[in-house]
Amino acid sequence: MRLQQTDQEQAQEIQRLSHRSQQLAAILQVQQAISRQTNRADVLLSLGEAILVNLDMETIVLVEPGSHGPKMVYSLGTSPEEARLEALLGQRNPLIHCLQNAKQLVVPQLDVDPEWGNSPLLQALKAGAFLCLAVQSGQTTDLALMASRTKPLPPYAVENLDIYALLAHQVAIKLSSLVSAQETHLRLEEASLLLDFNRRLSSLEPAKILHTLLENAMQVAPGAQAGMVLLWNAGKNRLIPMAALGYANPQTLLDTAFQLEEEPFGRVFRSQEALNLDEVDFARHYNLSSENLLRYRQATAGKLPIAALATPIQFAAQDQPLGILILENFQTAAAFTDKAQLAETTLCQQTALHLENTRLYQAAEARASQMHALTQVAAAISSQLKPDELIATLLDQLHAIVPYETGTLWLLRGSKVVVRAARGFADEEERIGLTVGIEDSLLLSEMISESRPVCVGDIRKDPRFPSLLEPRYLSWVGIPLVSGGKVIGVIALEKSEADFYTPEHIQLATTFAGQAAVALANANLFQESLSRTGMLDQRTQRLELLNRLSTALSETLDADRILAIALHELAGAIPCSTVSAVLISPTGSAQILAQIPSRDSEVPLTLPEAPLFEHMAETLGIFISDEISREPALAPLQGYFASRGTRALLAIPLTTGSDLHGIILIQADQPQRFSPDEIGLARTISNQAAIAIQNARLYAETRDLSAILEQRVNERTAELAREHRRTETLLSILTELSASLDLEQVLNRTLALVQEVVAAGHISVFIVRPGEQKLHRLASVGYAPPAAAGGSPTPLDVDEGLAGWVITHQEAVLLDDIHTDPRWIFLVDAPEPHHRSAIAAPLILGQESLGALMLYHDQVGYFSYYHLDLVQAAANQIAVAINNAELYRLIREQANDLGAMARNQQIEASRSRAILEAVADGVVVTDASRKITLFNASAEKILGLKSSELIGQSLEHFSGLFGGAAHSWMETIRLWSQTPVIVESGDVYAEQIMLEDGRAVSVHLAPVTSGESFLGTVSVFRDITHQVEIDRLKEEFVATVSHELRTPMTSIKGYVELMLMGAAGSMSDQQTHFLKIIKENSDRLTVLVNDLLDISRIEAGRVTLSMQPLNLVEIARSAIDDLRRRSGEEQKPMTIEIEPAPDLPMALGDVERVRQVFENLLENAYNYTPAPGRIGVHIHQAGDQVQVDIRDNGIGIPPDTQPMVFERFYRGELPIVLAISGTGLGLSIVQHLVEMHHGHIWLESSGIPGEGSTFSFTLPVYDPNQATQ
Amino acid sequence: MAKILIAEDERDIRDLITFTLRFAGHEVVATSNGEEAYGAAQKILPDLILLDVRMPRMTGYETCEKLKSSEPTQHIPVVFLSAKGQESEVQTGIRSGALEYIVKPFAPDQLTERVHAILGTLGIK
Repeated sequence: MRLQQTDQEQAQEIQRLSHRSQQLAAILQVQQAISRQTNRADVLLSLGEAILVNLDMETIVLVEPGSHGPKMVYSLGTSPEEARLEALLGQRNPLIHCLQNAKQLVVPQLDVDPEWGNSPLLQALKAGAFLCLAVQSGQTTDLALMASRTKPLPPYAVENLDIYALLAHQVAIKLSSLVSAQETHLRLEEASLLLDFNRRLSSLEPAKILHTLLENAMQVAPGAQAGMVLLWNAGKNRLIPMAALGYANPQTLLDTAFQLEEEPFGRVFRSQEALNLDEVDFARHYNLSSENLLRYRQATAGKLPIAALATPIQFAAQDQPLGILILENFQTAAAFTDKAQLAETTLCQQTALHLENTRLYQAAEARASQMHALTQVAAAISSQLKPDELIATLLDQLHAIVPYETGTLWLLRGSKVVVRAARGFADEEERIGLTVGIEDSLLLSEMISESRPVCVGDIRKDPRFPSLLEPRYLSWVGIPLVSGGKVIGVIALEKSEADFYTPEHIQLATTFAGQAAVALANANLFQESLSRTGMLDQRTQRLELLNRLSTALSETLDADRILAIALHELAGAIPCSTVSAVLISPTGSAQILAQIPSRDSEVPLTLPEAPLFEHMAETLGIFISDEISREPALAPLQGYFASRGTRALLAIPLTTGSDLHGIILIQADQPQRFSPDEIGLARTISNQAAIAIQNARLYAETRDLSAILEQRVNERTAELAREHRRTETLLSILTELSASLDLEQVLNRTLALVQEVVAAGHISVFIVRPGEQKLHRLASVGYAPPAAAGGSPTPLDVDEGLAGWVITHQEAVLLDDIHTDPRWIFLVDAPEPHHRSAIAAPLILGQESLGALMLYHDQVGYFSYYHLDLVQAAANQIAVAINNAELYRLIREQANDLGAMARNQQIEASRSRAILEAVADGVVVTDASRKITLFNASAEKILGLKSSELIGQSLEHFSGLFGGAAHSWMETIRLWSQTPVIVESGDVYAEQIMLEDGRAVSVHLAPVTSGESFLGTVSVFRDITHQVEIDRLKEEFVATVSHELRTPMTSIKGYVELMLMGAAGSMSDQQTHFLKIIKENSDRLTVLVNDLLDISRIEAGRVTLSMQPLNLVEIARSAIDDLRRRSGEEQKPMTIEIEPAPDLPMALGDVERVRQVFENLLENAYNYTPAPGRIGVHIHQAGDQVQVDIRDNGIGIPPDTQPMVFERFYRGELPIVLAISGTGLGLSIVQHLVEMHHGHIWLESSGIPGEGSTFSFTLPVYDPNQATQ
Repeated sequence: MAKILIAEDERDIRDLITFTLRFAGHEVVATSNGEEAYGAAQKILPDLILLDVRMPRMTGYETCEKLKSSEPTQHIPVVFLSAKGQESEVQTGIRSGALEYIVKPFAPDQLTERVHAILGTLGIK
């Protein structure tokens, strides 16, 4: 079964493959059939036939897409007779499907196909199977072919779909290549036509070119029955028919001209695009003028065009068409195909190109010949350098380029034009020189102002021309001659024909005019340069003269010589009879200094005053007179001028700046006008002379100045040399003085130096010794006897004689002769016979005169002020030297004293040390840096330390001994060393320390200061073990005793009071009295016990203070309140008042202890003030303390007992005091408490009863910034 | 009227205090040492206790501390009456829990006044 099935499958497969190969072979046949065909129809036909035969089909239907569905191309093969295939194409069928979807379709068994089985076309064909091919070119489906047969195809025919698709594709390629081949063929034809056309055109004239165009155009467009070529005439503004063919009367058209408004010609010309009218609506498309319409109808013999093609004759680069080609058909609509239109366009473009080339060639040829003529003319005129000759030939030359009948050359002169040449006129010669105002001619003024040509085609129509009856010349052209941007003239040409001159003519004439203007300018320049050469020659001569003059003037600095040269040159250069130089003095008088011709005997000749001179001094200008006899300004000078025969005068000022120094008079013996050149020359020469004279003056001044300067330099040099010598001497003196402190030696050497320079006869130094009346002579040199060693007293008092005067007045003097000066005293016994002149200078140091330096000479007037200066300077140095020597002596003495003192101190120190070493107390001394310098034997013993180990160590080594107090101990030392100023004598730091072995040692540390410097400390150690033990026992005793006393006291006091309260029944007055006595005494005993305990504890240092800020006023008030209560109870009237100062600061203290102080003092005041008394409490600030004064008006304290008041148990001896109960411990306790607070307590009392006493104490002010102690 | 316990070894003074307070109208229980005073206090729960400091068997300080550490008596105010008047002694008394420290000798009316003042603050008349 299985094998059977396989066999069957294989048979089917073989059948299928065989069918497929048959199909492939058949398709190959079809391909070969179509590939042999050369046109589309044949290809399609052979395709159909090949499919019929090779694919064993019965019917072929080939369609192409139409506007309303498929359109039948053909059908082949057999089909049922009744089948009307074309009618069925529009209904649903595979061909429509193929066209739309471009897909191949094969249906092998139509009877089972649900899609196509009921297609009317296939049913009409009775088809049992079909295949459908879509032939596609590019994106569109061009054809669809359906092949059918009545028998079905094998089912696997569907698999051949790809083969059919290949066939369809190959058909499409074949068709496409056929189209390409056809197009290429057409192009080739076109190209050969054009080539031929071009060939024919290239050798033709324009008229024939147009004719050829028309012929060819009609040949290319088969629909053309007639045609014409129109060209644009810009001058006439018309389209002119140039060639016409095919019309009944072509000449009629050739005589016509169309305006641009006339259609269709104008429209094509304007739009520059071809116009193909398929169906001409003559009335609309042919919009001709009535005249032209008539002509057109004549030309066509009444026929109207049905179709027309109008093409612009233009090539791409042209702005507007040259003309239009129009072809017409009088029978058929749409006679002109697109292809024809394209061909016409090409022909027209070629024609336009040819026409343009021809035109350009002709233009270039004309231009070249014109340029040739122009070049020749330009060469001819530019070689002419004589303006007149040039002008005469210009018009003739122009004739060779631009034709004219009359020509006129006008040249500009100011605001007029002058005729300089004329041609073609009968009266040519007369016209030359004719002048016309530019303003008078509209044409001339227009040309000249706008600098451009004016062309008038017909002067009869131009309003600028006068209307003549019969003007002979109608064309007129005027060309301006422009040179360097300016119009210099005009050429006017006339011609009898109207509109003769073309733009080319005008351009040529303009070019010629430009050339002519340049040639004219050149000729004029040449002429001018010729005339300038003459002037230049004259100038050269003048320059030569000036050069000569300038050279001559620069060679001399002599004013007279300068004048002579200037006059000479003037006489030579300017025609004149006399030249003279007049000097004008500052006062205005005039004097002739020199003249030519020379009359030396006459000069200098003073001239009378004349207005001329004033006038010239004011104006500094020249004065000219052609005839001097008419000049009033010269009236006073007429005599002088007459003597010289002068008739004309040129006066030139000689000035520098604004000053007139002189005048040059140039005189002529004829009435004469001096030319500007001569005046200019005369001025130049005169100015040169004036400058030279000024220079000469300046030179003379400079020479004088330099002589003076030289003299001053010499003087100053001498002065400096003297100054130098003096400075050197002083330097030597200074060196000597500072070389030694031995005054005598120094003085002798110094005086010798002074002597060397001054060469005085004798020199002495006198000094004032403090406390002595007589002057001392300390040193001397010279002819008088020398001073004794160490100086010797003179008989003169310190304020006597010349030296005394100098010392007193502190002023140096120079005496030429001492004999005539009252300050000099002649001493009877002194050998001073030689002194005649002297210098005395004080020796001054600061404000003090130390003495005098005296110099003498035996000549009268020997000394100069130069000597005086030197001596003064030397005296100043000597004063310093004397002072230095004195200072040196003082220092030496002080050094000796200090040495002695130091020795004494050393001895003293050794003694002190020995004492310190020997004392029983331990002594430790430190220096300022707290290094131990002394540690005595007792200290070693007390502290159990070795001195040798401690000397040189810091005191800080001991801080361990002080335990908790170490900090405050070190702080105290630091404070002393840093601020020794605050250390007061008696400042001591005391501390009690316990040693490890149980011994107690007291330490007193005191600073050692000297002035404000801290030198170190001294500590004294004492072993107080025994004393401490005693104190302890004492305190214990007191505590025990007081307790033991208080116990019985409690019973006594308690029971007595109970009895007094009546607890034991009523008592008699006597009993009550006795009981009160017991009570008071027991109270007293209680107070005594308390006070004793207090004082013993205070003295033992057992009381510690709890320091805090205190309001003393509050405490005082509280204590006062208690006292007032007591006063009330005891019926002892007492006024108690408190007066606190304002802004009182807080105090620092222990509130209970301070209260105790207040109570105690107030109680004392109360007790010892009889009623009615007064107690005042005054609290105020005193520096950094608050002070409390408690004042009473009680019995007072006698001054002699006041020192004992604060002692324990002291109560005085007054009965009145002793009568009041008290322990005598209160004030002692109070004193202790105040001092524990770092305060003070004291009292003031006169001792007179009733004046009372004042107890004052102070407490420190509370400072919140300081830690509480 | 308040119930006041006193401890005082000195007989004269004990009698003086007893008399004075009774005279002032209070009920007084007197003991002669600290031990007795502590026992009595536990028993009678007085309004106020007055203690001497130096007593045989148990000092005033010890008695006060004991009373203050015992639940039933710790709220009862204690006042010392002592001849020891040094500051350190007063401080020791206050530290042991006492309200006041009265130094001997005292005047009877002064004692009465203090006792009234303390009872007043406690709301007992």
